[in-house]
Amino acid sequence: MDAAPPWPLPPRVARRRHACLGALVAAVGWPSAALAIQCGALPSPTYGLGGSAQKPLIARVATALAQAAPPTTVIYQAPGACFGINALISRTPLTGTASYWDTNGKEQQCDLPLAGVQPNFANMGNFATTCPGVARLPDGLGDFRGPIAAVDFLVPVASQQQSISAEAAYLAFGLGKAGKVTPWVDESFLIKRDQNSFATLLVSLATGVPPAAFKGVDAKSNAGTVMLVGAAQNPEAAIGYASSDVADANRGSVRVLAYQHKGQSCGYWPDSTVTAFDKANVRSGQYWLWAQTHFFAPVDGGGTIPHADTARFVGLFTRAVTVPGIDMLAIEAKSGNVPECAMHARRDGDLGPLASYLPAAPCGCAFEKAATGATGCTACKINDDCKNTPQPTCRFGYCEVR
Amino acid sequence: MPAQHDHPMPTGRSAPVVAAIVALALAGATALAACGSDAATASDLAVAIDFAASRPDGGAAPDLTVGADLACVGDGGCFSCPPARTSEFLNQCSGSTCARFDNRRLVLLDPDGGLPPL
Repeated sequence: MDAAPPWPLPPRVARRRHACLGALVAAVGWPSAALAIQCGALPSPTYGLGGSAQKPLIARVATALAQAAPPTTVIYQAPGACFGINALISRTPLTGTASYWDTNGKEQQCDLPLAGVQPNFANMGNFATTCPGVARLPDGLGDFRGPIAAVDFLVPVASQQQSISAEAAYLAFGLGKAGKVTPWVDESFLIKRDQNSFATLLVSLATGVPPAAFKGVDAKSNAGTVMLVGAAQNPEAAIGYASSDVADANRGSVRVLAYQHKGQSCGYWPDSTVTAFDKANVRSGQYWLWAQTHFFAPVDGGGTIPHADTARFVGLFTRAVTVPGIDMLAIEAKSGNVPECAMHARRDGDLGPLASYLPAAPCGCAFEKAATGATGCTACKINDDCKNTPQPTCRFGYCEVR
Repeated sequence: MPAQHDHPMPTGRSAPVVAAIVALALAGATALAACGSDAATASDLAVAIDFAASRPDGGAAPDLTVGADLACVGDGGCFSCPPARTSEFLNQCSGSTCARFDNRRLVLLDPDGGLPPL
């Protein structure tokens, strides 16, 4: 750092100098390394590893838990979905730095111990066995289900494209330039992820392109995909795919394409329109690219997570745990996810056949309200408030069918 | 920019194909129903549906997803009854906007709807 000059700098020069210093500091990353806190010093930590697809969701829940009394600190690395489950299976410790979220919701970095620390949980959007090299979930690891997550095809907002079919995605990402899918023929503008990515695995299952055979540039994360697609110099040529969590948070730079699956007569967005946030077509099963979130964690003989802070964090998603002040339904809805209780369709396995679903305690109305700010449902406090409607049961503040 | 519409609409070029396959499927359904085998009717129709849907014109055949029950054919051929099978979920009638991708854009798609190996 340079010495202070012996005279006062004019304000404009001082500002410029500070800006240059800030840029230099940001470039070398010196202060974050020097000032990073030890992860173990944070209150009641739980350590996780997995995908970046649901990092916005994890961030919101982590923030809420940081604000809770007592607090829990969620510490997370997101190298890719399958890295998480593989680390749990092989007992590979987390090393280096990891993210956590402070009480203001700001993502911070902390230093892990030099010897590493065993992960307490893994998170991803797919079943363990969809990951390369995972034949079965070993005994001693539990599979806990969270909300429904969608994967979206993305183009820059300046692109004229509106939809893509499964066949087009197969040819574009499977053959690249040779696929001749105009305008997606320049492989430097095909943005992909590797075979450990939930998004890649889901697109692979949908299109038939093997997970390791995708053509294009590896964006390394969902956020990376959004960045590369959104900033593409040739907007018409650019396309990628990412989770709805991340896509919805970046609609200023990327636009979601309608997806037309094999046997489908038209392409649909996850939402009822390209600009909506209602996830109507995910909920109804009209949009194909969705799966239920998984949290994996070591369990005891009774299937219970013995690590208390991990059990608290994972339990929020399964609804086994409630924490005063944390509204999981609202958090999931605002993160681009759909709680299971708001679904009208279900499926077994990743991209398995669809079947009709009526949740035991439906929450579709409350979901609509949280996700979009409005619902046509009748508000209620008790069942009697619903007795003159076709939806006789009051749930989550609205009249539902049961 | 492709047009968006509120329900699936066959294109003019593919409509005759759709109509022909619909007619074929319905004829088959009638014949099978006459033989007193409802299950076979549904199954055979599903084959016809899958065949149509895999055509290089993108399927463009929403009508074909409805099985043998004409009471379940909605506007534009969407499936208007409560869906039970995957094809019915995908092609169900809804208030959502859709944007059809015309698979005729895909020069490597085989005439029978097949895709080249990678």
